[in-house]
Amino acid sequence: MQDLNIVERVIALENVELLRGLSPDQLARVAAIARQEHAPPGKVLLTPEGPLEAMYVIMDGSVELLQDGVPLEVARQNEVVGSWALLDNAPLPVTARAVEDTTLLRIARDDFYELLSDNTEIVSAIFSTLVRRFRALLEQGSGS
Amino acid sequence: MRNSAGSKDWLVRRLGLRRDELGRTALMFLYLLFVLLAYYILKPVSRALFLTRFDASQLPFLYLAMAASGGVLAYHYVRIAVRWSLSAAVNAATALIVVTLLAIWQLLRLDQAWLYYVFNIWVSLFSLVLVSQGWLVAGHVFDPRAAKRVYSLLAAGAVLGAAIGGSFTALVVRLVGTANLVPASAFFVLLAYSCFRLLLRQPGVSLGEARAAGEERAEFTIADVSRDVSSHRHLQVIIALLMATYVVDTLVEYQFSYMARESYRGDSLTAFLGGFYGLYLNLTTFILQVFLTSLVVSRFGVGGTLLVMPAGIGAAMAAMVVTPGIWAAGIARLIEASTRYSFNRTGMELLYMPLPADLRDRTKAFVDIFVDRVARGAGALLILGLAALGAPSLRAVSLLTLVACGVWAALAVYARRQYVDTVRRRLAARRLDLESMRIPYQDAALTRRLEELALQGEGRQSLYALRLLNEIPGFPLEALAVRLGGDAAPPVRAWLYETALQRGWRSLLKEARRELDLPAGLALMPAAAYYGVLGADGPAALRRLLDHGDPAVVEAALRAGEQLPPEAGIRLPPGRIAALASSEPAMRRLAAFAYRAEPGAAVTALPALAMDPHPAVRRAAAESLQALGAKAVPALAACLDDREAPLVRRRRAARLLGSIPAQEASDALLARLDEPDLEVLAAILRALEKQRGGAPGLQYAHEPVRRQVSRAARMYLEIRVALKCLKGAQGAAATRLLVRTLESRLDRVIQGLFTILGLRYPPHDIHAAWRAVRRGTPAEMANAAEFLDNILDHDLKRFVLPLLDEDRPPDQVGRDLFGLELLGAAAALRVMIEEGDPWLAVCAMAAAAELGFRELTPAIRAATERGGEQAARVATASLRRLGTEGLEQV
Repeated sequence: MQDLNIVERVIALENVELLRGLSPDQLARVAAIARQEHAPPGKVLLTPEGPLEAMYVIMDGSVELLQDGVPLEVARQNEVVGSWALLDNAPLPVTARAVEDTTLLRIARDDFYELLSDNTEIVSAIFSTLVRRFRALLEQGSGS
Repeated sequence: MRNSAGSKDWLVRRLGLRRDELGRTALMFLYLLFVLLAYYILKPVSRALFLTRFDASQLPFLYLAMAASGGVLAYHYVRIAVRWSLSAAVNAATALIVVTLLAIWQLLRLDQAWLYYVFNIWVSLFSLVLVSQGWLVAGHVFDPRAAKRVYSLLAAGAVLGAAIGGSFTALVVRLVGTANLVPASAFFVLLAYSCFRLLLRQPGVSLGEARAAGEERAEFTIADVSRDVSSHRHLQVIIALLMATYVVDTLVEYQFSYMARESYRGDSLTAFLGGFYGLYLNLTTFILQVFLTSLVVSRFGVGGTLLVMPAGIGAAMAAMVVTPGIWAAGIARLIEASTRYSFNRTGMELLYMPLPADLRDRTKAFVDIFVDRVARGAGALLILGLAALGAPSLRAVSLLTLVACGVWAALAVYARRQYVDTVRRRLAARRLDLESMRIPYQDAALTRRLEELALQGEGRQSLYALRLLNEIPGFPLEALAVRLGGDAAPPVRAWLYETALQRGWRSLLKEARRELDLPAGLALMPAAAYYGVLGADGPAALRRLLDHGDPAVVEAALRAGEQLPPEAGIRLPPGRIAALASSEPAMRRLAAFAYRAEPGAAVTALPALAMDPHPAVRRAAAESLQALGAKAVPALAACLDDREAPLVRRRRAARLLGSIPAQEASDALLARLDEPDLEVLAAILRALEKQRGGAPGLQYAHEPVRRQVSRAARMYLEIRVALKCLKGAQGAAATRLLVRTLESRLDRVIQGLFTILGLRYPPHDIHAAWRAVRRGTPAEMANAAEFLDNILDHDLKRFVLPLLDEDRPPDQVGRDLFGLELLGAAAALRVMIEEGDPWLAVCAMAAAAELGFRELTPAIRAATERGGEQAARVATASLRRLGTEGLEQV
């Protein structure tokens, strides 16, 4: 897969739940720090042992998520793996492994923080998304 | 068919209406026209019959009789209006009026003296009931914004009806005689009623629930109305204005009738009165209404509109005092009556608009009818009073009218202020008011408990208790502080040293001196400041700290030194500061503080430190720049102007300028509102907003604000027009992304526009208007627009108000204001590719490729030369998608 341009990256990032409150201009800034990577079949992207340093958006191909060797689900095009890496480096209790030739957009947490330090409106939009999600979870909890 | 649609469009544009309100406006126009036509037949007929039968000295008694009977009828009319629907009230009033007119026509043959009084009284009630019903119907058919557009036209309908009625009377009276015009009037009442019934069938028009009062107010009394009036200042102002209007009307009417009777009798008098009202009066009124009222309303608002009538009559009365006669009286009457149904009626109807709908309905009919009667009665009593005092009647009445006009003008000015206040209150009604809480710590037991908490010496509770004890007048806090001494937790010690410095205690100096030798902590800074100022060897101790190896300790000494005179020498040598500035982050942070004592070097060094990659250095530099104040402005403005610099630096420069509460800083920001980069512009606007909040005394020049409002309005409309073009296009992901980009910019532009308005007008009120606009319900949009209409200067509201008018298509507004054209999707994309900012341009290129607009290939190709790497990659992909031809040339 050839290198994606900024418009294609933004279109992909619109699917990331954490970034849902961002305007296209803001997403373009996030897209600018994203790196396109290629993962051959079997390449491990995340492990429960390693620190969580980046989030991946699958542009092409698929990534399998396993817990204790047991497959949980397969993430495909436009889906996200490790989105919370942007906010927290605690390892996920899963292993993420490319199933086939996979093209990914990688957003490193350090780059993301650097971006946030000068873009308070992006921080504000992300907080809004988190609060909405938290509120929805609370309502879900009280409903059940 | 096409011609008909074209004519309709032309009419809609010409009259400033919306397509969907054309039908109801036309019928409302005709309804009022026929009511006034009928009235202006009856008015000259009834008055000519009276003046032919009696002399002018009987007129004040007639006015009094009208006032007395009018009050009774008003009471009963309101009771009917409360119990019945508005529609039923119009039905009943029409039936009663037609039957009564036919009965009077027959009775006039008997030539009974009492009948001329009754007929005149009845005619005055006719106009008040049917005309006020008409305007009440209009109030339910149109919302406040539509009312502002339409009311001038409706008032013109009323004026035209009056003109036709008067002319009709003048022409026909010689053929059929005065009395036989009465059944002709009944015929026009029926025509008016037909228009009302057709109006009710118009789409979106429903008076089903409209009443003069809510259901719960069915047991409605004069006491209820009085209570409403006494509790609403806005209603009181309306009543005072109406009083002034009708007192002056009576005085002018008396002078005119007096002079008319001196010159004419019988059918000639009827023809004169009809001709006067028809030809002269209503022609004048119509011209004023069509050509001037809207202009005056939009330019001078409610207050200016209401001032026209008293000013005009006042001028005519001055002439009447100098040269009394039929022409002077006629001109006075002409001005009075022409401005009453044009400027004054429009202004008064607008004055009602900000009132809550139920209050408006409940009291409008009552106020219109009852106040009219009382005021006319007062006018009559004034004339009789002057006669009783032996004043030369006509000239004394003219002088009295002149005085009344002065009072009226003052009331109009006050009404405008009241109107704006009422609208503002309604807008603000959604705000949350948080009340502060008070703690009753005068209680001795509570004080003891607070002491115990304070003496624990640790944690937030101790600090909280100390702060509360500090508030108690006469509490021996110093003794408590000594007991706590240096054993308390660092935050408590820090607070104690700060308080000791503020209060000038010396009892904690020993503890503070000891603090200077401890490792740097929370209490070091306040201890250094306290000891530096009050300690016997304070300055020397601080100077010693400057050589400390810990930058935090040096910083504490520098900060403490700021409270001492410069000769104390608490500063670092310039060479050492420069060396620190190029060292590790903690040292650079120290340099940022140290530069405060060297303003000359600071103005160039601090902006660079403010762009440091390390946040702590940036914060320190920002604080120092703020402390430098106006001196830092030129260097920061230069950073902001550097269009080659990274976006981040320019935005920081704007933010730093906004943190300086100095006029020079706000002027620098204001002068840069023409910044083409939207991100930098947004930063400038945020900085100005922040600065305005922190330093309300700063001045913001009108011209840059006007320019930016105009620019924002244009951008807003360009985006709306572009969106209109694109929403019809069959695009996919890239086109949808472009649409979302434009939509988010629309929000940002309109928010920026309100931010800039907040610089010139009360920010709280502008913010309330902005929130109303954001919520976007028609009623709130209308209220916000109404409010802005009244507080903004004319050259600003001509840009702002059309943006809030959701009924008007953006392309039409764009064309009217800026000559923007709706060119189609391809042309809109071309403009974005050629003139848009980098992100908009790349989105437009991707969308153009998606939509297959091959004609945009040259524009995309050109964009690759202008834009950076990202733009080139999108352009390449777009050209590839459009075909290989363009790609080869890239």
